[in-house]
Amino acid sequence: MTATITGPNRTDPPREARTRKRFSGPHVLQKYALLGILLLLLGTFMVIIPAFRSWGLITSMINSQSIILLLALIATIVLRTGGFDLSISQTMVASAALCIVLTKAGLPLVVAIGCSILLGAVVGVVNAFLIVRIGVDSFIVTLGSFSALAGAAYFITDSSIVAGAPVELVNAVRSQLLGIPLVTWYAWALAVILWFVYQRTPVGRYMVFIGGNPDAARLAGIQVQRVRFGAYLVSALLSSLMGLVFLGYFGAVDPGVGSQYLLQPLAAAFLGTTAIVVGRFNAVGTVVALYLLIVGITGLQVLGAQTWVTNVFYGLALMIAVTASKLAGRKRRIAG
Amino acid sequence: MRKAIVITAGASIALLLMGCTPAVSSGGTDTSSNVDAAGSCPAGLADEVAAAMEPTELVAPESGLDLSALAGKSIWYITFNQNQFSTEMSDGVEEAGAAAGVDITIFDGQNSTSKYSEGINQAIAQGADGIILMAIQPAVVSADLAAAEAAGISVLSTLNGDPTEPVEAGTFANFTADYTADGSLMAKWALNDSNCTADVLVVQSSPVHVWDLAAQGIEATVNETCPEDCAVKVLDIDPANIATDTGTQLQTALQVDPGVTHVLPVWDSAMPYIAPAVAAAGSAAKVLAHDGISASLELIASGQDQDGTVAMPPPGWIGWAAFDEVARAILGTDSPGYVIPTRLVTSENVGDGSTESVSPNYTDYQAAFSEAWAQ
Repeated sequence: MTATITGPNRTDPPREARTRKRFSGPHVLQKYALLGILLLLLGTFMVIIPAFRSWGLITSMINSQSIILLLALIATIVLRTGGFDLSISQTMVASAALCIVLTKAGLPLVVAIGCSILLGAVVGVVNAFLIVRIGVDSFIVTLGSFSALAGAAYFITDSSIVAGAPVELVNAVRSQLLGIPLVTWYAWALAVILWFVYQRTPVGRYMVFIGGNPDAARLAGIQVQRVRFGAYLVSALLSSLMGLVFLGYFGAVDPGVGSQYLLQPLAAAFLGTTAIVVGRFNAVGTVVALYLLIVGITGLQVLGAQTWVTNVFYGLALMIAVTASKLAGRKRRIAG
Repeated sequence: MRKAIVITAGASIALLLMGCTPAVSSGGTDTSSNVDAAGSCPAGLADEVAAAMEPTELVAPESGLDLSALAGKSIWYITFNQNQFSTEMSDGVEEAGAAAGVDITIFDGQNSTSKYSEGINQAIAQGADGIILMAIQPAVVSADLAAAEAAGISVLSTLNGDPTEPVEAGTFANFTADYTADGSLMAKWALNDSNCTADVLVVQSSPVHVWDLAAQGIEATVNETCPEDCAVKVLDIDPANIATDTGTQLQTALQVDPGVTHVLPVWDSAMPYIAPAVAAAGSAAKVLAHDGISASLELIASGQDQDGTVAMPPPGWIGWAAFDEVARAILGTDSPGYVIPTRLVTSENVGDGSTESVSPNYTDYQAAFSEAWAQ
């Protein structure tokens, strides 16, 4: 009997070469370009605009985007698996509406919160069942959920703005820690958690594999359906929790605002694929992307730009960043 | 290489932040734009403000209505979108329709010009006798209104512009409040409240015509009445992003100018976005808005977040009055030319925020209409 001993595959690049490639100039530049632009933009505005040297303005920029950031981070969960969840914002609004209406009807806050989370669970299960089990396109299903939840929000609130959120919720969101509202800390905490899950856990890697090629992932032994089902469920549950944050932040619910929170979080999530972990939906990249947008828009506002200018900036930033990332990725693949 | 980039970036940030100064967040009275802290207002301003705080008289029909001729007619209520105000107004239209034996159809325009057009064309196709356009600019649906006019449908424009503006083609009247005058009143309140040292920040969305009129009224009054010691700035929000941009832009504006003493959003429904922004900016600015929706009246009554509003009568009354206008147009009688009255409401006269407190002459407007119709 002969034993065949195989050495290392001579076609694999050596470990040192892979490490050199990972920390090569173009690779680092691509990963941190967006962060660099953010710092450059911030520095430039600090030089030319005195108001930008105010810590209050910096924190107000960060704080004002906390709701959008939370929604954008939640959006990355399903996006990472290759799907869409367009119902996030409406789940948030419907959940907030349910909570405030129940508390104003006299129910204990704990019960109202429980009902709101239950709403999220129902939405998540329905979305997941139709998309994962039945196989309906995620865009269609969640668009349908979005529309149904919008109607539900109007029904729950009787088409009215309902004010008077429980003071406990308001305090839980607007109270400050080290001068920064808790809502911003929640957003950063979620970013850290998602970073850990995406980068340091198997399920985070499974999500990417599934998003890239679900058939290959299945053949590799990954529980594709279970992971995807979980993604939609977690997305909806987090969205319903977001409803409580939303309620605490604004102190009131306008049933018609869900549609206004649809595009910006998705835009931030897509823009985030151009930073830190290029080509993949990732938490840190999303944070960087959103803060880049708000710094740019705030700077333009302080300089006196008309509203339409900021809209143009927003759209162009998105198109340029995603295009640059696409081109850089293509160049990298060619270079091998 | 990577470490070098990170270290350099971190050092740069540290150097830049060393130049940061803490935002001035204490109170809103220390303004850089108001040199004379002991300003004085023109004579009569306080009296004007006080007069505007009196309850408004009931506006009701003064002549009868031939209900027998109206029976079986159809009126469509096409609204720009579904919100609290438009819903309560539509309730009033339906109530009036039921009292007059007229069939009412409610159509939600969903903030979309194509939906407005669809609503008008459906009304034409289904043989409507009258249409009430709620906060929809007739110009954007001019072709459809021409078709409605050709079909003999009487179209009333509501809450679109000032009463003095020309009646737009395809409509027979414009039933609205005087938004320019209401804006002027908002400015006068701020000036009077500050003894004419106000630094005013107006929040509006100029594509909404009535809001733009109110904002212009505020600007003009501040500049005319207090050109030296007061200041006025306008924050113009994209209507498609009101929920996401109002708070962001307002916080920024208050950080850039911590001396703002009064924030004047020209619509009450903005308050959920205004209040957190003012609080987050640490501003002591007072807030006065417009419309008089119940949520805002509750805030004013509770002393929370909102200091006042320029309140219209209950939206249900507006619905009844709009119905009355269209009904008379269908019957070929002259338009009564109603103008929506407004009242300046603050903590001094809000009571418990109920209709009885804010609009005491409007507690039973339904009976006033019914009695007049029966003449």
